[in-house]
Amino acid sequence: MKLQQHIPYWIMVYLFLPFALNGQENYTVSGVISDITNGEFLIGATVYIPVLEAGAAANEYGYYSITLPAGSYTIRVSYLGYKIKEFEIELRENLRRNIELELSSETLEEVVVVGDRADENIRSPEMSVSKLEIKEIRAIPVLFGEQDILKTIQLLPGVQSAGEGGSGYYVRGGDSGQNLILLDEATVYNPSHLLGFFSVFNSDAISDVKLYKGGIPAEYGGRIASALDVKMKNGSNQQYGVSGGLGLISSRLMLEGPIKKDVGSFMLTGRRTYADIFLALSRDTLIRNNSLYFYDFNLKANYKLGENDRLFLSGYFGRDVFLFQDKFGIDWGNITGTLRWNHMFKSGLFLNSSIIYSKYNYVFKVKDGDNDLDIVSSIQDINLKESFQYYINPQNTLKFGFRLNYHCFVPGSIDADGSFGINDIELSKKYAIESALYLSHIYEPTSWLSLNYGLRLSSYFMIGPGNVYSYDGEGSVVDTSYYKKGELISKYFQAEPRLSVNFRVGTVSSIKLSYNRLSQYLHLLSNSSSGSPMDLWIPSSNIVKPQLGDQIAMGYFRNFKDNKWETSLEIYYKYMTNQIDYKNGADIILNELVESQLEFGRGWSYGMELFVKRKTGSLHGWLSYTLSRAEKQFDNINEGAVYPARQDRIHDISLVAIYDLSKRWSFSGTWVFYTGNAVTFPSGKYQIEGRTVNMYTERNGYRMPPYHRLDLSATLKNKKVNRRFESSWDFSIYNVYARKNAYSISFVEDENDPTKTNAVRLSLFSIIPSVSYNFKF
Amino acid sequence: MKSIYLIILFSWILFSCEDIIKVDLKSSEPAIVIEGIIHSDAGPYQVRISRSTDFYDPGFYPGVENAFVQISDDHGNSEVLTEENPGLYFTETLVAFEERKYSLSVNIEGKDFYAESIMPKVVLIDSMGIEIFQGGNFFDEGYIVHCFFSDPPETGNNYRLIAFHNGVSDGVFYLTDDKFTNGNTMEMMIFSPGTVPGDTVIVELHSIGKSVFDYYVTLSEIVTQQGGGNPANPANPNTNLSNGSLGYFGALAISRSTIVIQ
Repeated sequence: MKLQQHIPYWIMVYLFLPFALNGQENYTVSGVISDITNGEFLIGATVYIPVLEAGAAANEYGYYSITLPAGSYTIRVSYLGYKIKEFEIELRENLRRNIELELSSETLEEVVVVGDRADENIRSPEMSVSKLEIKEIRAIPVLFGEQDILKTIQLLPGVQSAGEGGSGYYVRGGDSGQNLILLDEATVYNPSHLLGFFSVFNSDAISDVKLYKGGIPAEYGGRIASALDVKMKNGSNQQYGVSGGLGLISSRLMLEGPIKKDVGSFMLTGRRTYADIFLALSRDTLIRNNSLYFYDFNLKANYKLGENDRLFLSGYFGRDVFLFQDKFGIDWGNITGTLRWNHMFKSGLFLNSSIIYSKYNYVFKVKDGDNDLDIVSSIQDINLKESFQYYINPQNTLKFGFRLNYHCFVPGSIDADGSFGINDIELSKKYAIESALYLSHIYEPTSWLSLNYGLRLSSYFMIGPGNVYSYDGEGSVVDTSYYKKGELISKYFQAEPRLSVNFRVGTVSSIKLSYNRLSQYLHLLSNSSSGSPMDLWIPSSNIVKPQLGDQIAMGYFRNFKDNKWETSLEIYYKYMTNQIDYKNGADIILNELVESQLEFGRGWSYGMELFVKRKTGSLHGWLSYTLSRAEKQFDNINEGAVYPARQDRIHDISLVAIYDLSKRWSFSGTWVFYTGNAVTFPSGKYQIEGRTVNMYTERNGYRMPPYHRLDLSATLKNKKVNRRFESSWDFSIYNVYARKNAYSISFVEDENDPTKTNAVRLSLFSIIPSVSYNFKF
Repeated sequence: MKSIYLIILFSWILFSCEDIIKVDLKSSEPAIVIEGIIHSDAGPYQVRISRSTDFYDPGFYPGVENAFVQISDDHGNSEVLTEENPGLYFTETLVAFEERKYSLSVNIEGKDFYAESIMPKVVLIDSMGIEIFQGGNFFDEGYIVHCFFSDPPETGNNYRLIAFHNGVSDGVFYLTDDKFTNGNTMEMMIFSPGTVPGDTVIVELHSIGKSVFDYYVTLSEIVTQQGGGNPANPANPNTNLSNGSLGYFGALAISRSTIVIQ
């Protein structure tokens, strides 16, 4: 409470601090850094003043700002893979300089060494952060040749795949429902298509991906394990372009171009899978008359309203469709929309205002003759967000703002019109307002110390109308109270401190420390490892308390050979409270009293992550190794004893190598190895009704066999037909040495000899070759 | 709705394969397994007591001899069961009635086990019908048997249906409650690939209490999982028996109907 009383004072101090610092004659040069050929923002491009040894980096809108004492300066602008640009300025007043960089024709190796901030990883207080280049994502082989962000991040240290071939992931011992996933600021509630074999992110539409595993800055919140910030491309503001790809099970197409040259642009992508055409080849009508596919679209448009203002509109729409025998089916998907307005003030202040919409729903339909049944469920958000970035001087940057999020939950309803003897049912809708106020200060007082510290004040209000139940120990309702529309049902507050510190040691290494506290007000109930369309998000309430996660991490970062090699070693410890699991035999589908089906407990994880990356050269790539544990303790599970979480994998290794042989050929390979997941196997058997039943004695007391797999791919760029048309072939082989990795192990009676019982391994993907054709003009 | 996942999985199974492997499993203390049933038909009623074995032991489950086994109702009737075969205990005189609460007491070498179960009212099968379906890669051609019955007006009814094809149970757990269908005519479908005209299908409808229903639901979850379902968190079924024994005590209200496929 005391802390909260001091907040307004604290904010005031910070708001006026810059004026104190600006006492002398200081002026600001600011603008946007973009690619000259298409106007795409160069996020993270650096502006450097050699004489002062000071600099700044472009933000997510390409905006940079640097405030200096009056004088003449040479400014050097650089970005990985682009030609360095230098220009002179005469700083006698605030200046606006938009900078356009040109792609370097040289190979990466020659360019990067002269970049001033190639050692960003050493200088920045950021730790436990991974940034992926779209180029890297494209180069890495994946199942069916479908490049995918969520599968690529699983190759990074501390990030684990939740299942074979799937897009679900676990970060540092957290569950998949504890990952914040943002697409142009909008929350994506279900990031997978086709039960996880694809993610919702079409890499054609993506410009930038950043994953925070720890030291999460104050502007992010709402999930306790990680934040994945995915940004869509703007599209070229210079010329129209078309690109696309034809693959074995899906095809995609992208259009982009200027709305008005240099002023505005748009980008539109679409994808559709056709894996189900294989079903149509079957002679079996039971297989033939089924559909299973998804399609999705990304749209983004932006328009400059003047020197200081720019408007952005982005949206995503995706739908999965599954239809069985035209008798029943389910379709599900996400919709997101973001409207943003950037405004640049003269003095180094940048404001982004956003209105964000996001929705996930599923519709389950049964149709049989005159009978007709629909089950629907959804979660829907409307957000308002204001975020300020204030570049006070090269040593001080402030980020502050707020987010207001209105959630509406429709847990489920049945509309049966009396068909199948089923009554109409509507579970009560639930409403909540989640809001946060944040402030962070990035401070570099000396050349050897930099800090990013901040505070996020989050609050959560669950509001009526609705029934609120309380339960006895058996899960039976003992009391029901009704709340009117808008009436407060429960409220929670949390102060979430965030801190990252970087101590530089010499010129090529640094030691970093971080701490963060995160709270999570929405909870994902999922019964399967693969992520299913019917997974349910439930709000915090009088029964379900917000999850809380605290994490401390420490790391040593060192670069070698002129920053060509990056290495890091991090250790972390994480403690999570108010964790949720199901009771045995829980009934969660369309259950008004779903909260009575839950158990609450705590969890913790700790580990070490090693990362070695060669950034440049014809052979580049990385090695990541994670040594970690993740455990849980629930009073009513496993008789209260501590047990390993499903994601408790002791060793996890990923090796990624990309080799550019010539201008036309490039090759890549990945090898992954990990300890099997913790899993519950039977320790005995008995007989009921004459059938053999497995007996379980402990939760997750066994392990799946170790998993390993090698994938290879090759890309051949075709000779250019004319100046604009480019095309390439991608060949890939998944699981090259055809290892039978266990997807599941079941324990069953022998088919021929019922006195015997066997362990039967199900392995999903053996060696799978694929080919796709990509083009661009 | 679980069938959806199975069917979606079918498509991926085009790429999958199954084989038998050796998994190193721990050894466990033999646990007591009690399977006690009382039902609305005439007695005798049977309680079977056995022990669990290790997973890789041969499938022989020794009966527990010389136990004290007693069934009582809430109207003051009670009977101590006699052991006729090792581990098999029978009543001789007890008569069961609908809407009575039954309790089972067992004592094995000084250790007590106890459970209660209420026998609901019998719900009669109103009618049955058949429908032919085409065969394919996964199933042989056969029939679907539709079974109709009227759910009583009050909520909280639970049902299990057992189907016998020519006298042999098909081993499927047909379980439903009236959560979505209270007070309506309810339909359960029995999918019988391989049935041919002339076959007899006998359907038993068991009206059961909540704790017995929960037991069957959680039992069927792990039994289905044994057949290769989604690997969630398998656990022993939720039993109504005390003191850490496996199995259950159920009071079943049974009705029957027979249909000949033609």
